[in-house]
Amino acid sequence: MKKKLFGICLVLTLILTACGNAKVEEKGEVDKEIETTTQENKSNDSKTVEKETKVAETEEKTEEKTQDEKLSIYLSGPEAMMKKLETSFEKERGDVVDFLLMSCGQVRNKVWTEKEAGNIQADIVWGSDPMLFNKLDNEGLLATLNLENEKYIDESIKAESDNYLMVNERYVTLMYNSDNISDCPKSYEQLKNEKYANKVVMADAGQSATAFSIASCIYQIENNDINYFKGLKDNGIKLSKSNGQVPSLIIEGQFDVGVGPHDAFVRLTKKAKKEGYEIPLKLVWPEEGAIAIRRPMGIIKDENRSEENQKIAEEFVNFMLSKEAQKITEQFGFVSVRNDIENTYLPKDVKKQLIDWNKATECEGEFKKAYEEIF
Amino acid sequence: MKKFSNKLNIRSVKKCFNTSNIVFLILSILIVLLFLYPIMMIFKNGFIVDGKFTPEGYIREFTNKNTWIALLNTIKMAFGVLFITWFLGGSLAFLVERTDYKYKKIINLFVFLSFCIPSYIISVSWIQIVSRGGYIHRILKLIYPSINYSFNTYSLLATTLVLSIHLYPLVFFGIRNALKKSSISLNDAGRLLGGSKWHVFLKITLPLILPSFVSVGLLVFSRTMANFGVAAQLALPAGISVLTTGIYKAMSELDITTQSVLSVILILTSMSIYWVMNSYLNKRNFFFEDERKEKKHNKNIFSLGKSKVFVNVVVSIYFILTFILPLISLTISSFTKRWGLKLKLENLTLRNFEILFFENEFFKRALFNSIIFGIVSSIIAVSLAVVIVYFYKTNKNRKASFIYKVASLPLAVPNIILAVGAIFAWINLPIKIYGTKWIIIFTYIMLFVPIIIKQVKGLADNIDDSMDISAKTLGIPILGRIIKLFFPMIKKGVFSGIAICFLIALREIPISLLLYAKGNETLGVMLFTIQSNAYGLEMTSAVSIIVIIISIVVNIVVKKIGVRRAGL
Repeated sequence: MKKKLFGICLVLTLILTACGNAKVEEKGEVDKEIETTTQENKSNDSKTVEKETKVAETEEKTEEKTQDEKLSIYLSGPEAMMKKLETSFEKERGDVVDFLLMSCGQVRNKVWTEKEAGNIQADIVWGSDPMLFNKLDNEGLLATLNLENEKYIDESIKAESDNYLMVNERYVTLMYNSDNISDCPKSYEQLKNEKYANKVVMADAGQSATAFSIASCIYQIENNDINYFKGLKDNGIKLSKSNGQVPSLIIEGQFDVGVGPHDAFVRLTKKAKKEGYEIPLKLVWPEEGAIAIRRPMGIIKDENRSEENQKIAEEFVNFMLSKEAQKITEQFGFVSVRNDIENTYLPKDVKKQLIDWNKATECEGEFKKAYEEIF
Repeated sequence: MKKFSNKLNIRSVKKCFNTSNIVFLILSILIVLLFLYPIMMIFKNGFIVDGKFTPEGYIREFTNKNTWIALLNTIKMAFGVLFITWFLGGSLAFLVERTDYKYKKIINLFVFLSFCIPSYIISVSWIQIVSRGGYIHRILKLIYPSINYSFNTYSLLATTLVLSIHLYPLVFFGIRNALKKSSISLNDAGRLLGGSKWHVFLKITLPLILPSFVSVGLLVFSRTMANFGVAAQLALPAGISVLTTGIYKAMSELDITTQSVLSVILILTSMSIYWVMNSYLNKRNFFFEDERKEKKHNKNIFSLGKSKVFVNVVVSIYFILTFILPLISLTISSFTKRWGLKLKLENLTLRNFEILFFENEFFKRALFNSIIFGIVSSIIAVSLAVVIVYFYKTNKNRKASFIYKVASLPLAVPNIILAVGAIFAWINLPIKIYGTKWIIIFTYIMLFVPIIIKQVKGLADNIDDSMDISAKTLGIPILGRIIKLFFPMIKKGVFSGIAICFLIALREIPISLLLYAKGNETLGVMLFTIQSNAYGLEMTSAVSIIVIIISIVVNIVVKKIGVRRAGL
């Protein structure tokens, strides 16, 4: 019996060890494309050689960093993009950052729960919505940023505070399943039309930070009239837990129409093309305009942070505004905040709808209560 | 005189430091730090509004209509699941233990395998099967191309059904164990006195196993109330809220006060039901006899007679619907390039598994962590639970009752709340383990101890107290009594408890999701992250298939070390 037991344990251990040692190779087409872009950018940068020498020196120092010593970054976004950014940033510095990838809502929950518990564990937070950053800023929890690339940031996309920055922009669109319907809705208003009854999906503002931004903006477009959401509910709209799920649910055929950000559409289309299949997903720019969602980033104030880590944190924030990093995010569907990178995603004739965050914060309580009543 | 008073002092000090008091002291410290402190932190946070200590948060939530709707939905769902699982688990257990049904082994196997499928995976397969674009729709479309298919995939009823399918094995295990142990000689007596089989069943068998129904029902009830994943998957999209989803929403809206108050409401509701059921259990006792004698009484089991065929058909349909179909659906989906694409050969691929095994480092880490966290936490939880049950059984006083009750508390606390409590309790000194793997392991221990206590308590109740008293009189120390006398009599419950806890660790989402840091991800985190990212249900299905296979392997391993006899 003991022998048998030992045998079973041995087999399990071997399986686990084998599993743990399997080599990782990841070279997708998108990745290769980005690598090329990165290399091109680098060759254009006159400071690269100098930087690399510095980096080689720091690399030795940072190589032995334990997990506790590394910079902890809470972020949301596509995994492949984050991996690319991490590799790119660490190529020059060694293994100095730890990415903790979550959804937008999770980033918000985790940061806020830790804040309430009295100790935010992250050094840098990237993702969620400006409302979280405004709250953190008001409580004096964000460090002031020293942005080297500030002159490149599009003036209209700059954050309201000096203590956080906007890294990217994306737009809310209407999506539909081209196999199931030919007559797609052209505006948010049309989603209440009876012919789309029980066929519409959008992310739940109660679960997703980005969805809350979208709902707040639609609420503003509708002149703070909550009846719009009542109409949607009466028309049988269903709520997904995240925006990323919306295009998936439409492709799967569960729903015919949805409201979601364009970057997910871009990535899904690229993936389908790469893997050689077609997806019945089409995009429509709403008549009311494309709601712009921005992804903020900030450094959490921490007096106990070592000078070295503070420097790396600042370097990371500046890296995210560099052409190299912005190009990487652009490949994954996000719009750059730099004025020297063209916006290839938003058609010129489509109006950009901006969220008035001051107004959104003002009406937050009222809107939340009314939204909760309906859903 | 001095000598005498010194002797008296030494004696009273010695008396104070007797084994029982030392065990009580150690247990109290552990229980307070591990169980009471995190839960108390949740209660405390309900009173904090904008940094001030005030009852405003409680008043606001108690006067909010939505809170009551969520509470009502939670209770409706919990009772629905309770009755369905009682019926399903009880019927199957009776079929296996008290009838001459031919394929008992198949039932045992399918029930356990059903338990191996995580609840959110069942909800995923539910969506894959019944939703628009799902397999039923696709088949109907082949027959009627212009069909306007409509099915209410997202509802409270769907949540109740999925949770029932997931939780009925708990009832099955519990009732089967009770039936195995309940005295057949009483049934014999009933039959000899002229009672019909049904009369004997209703008047003798059922009352004997009723405490088991209540005990395991309590577990089902609390797990249903605590469930978040299925409710979030199937009820929230339709705008239906239960307390756990309300808590999650409050968390998303950065409202820690509401989150804490809703948690307190949930805890209090669960505790009230727990108290009612427990007071019933305290008035009842099992009647057991040696299992070996049972085998001689095979003649007394119910004969299915002509209804054999009917029972076979019903059982087959049941397992096809609740186990085979979901499994087929998951398997097919795991091989598709993208779930939702037409089922053609060109749309099938092995790529999903290739990514998981050879490219995705996250998956390998998550798999390793889930196994290690599951093993470590269930072993520690078992050790604690056994000592707690022993202490409660042998010291029926207030001290023991306090420890037992506090250790059972997490049963009424949703996992998501345990995680929040853990953050508040263990993010700062004296126990600063937030961000390490230990916070997940400690929270798992919190979750597992009451489950193992439930598994063990029923068996422990049947051990005559005189045995322990005799051993004590013979001078056997407490550790010896626990290891050599108590443990062998409850080991079956312990092994089944470990197996259940390990399987929970393999698929648990909310705790690890809230507490993980880089390097500590689990399979639950992996599944949740996959669903949130660009991968569709195909990748979720691939991970699910792997989780199910591991669960089956674990089952085989556990059986090899003797759990089969424990009722798994």
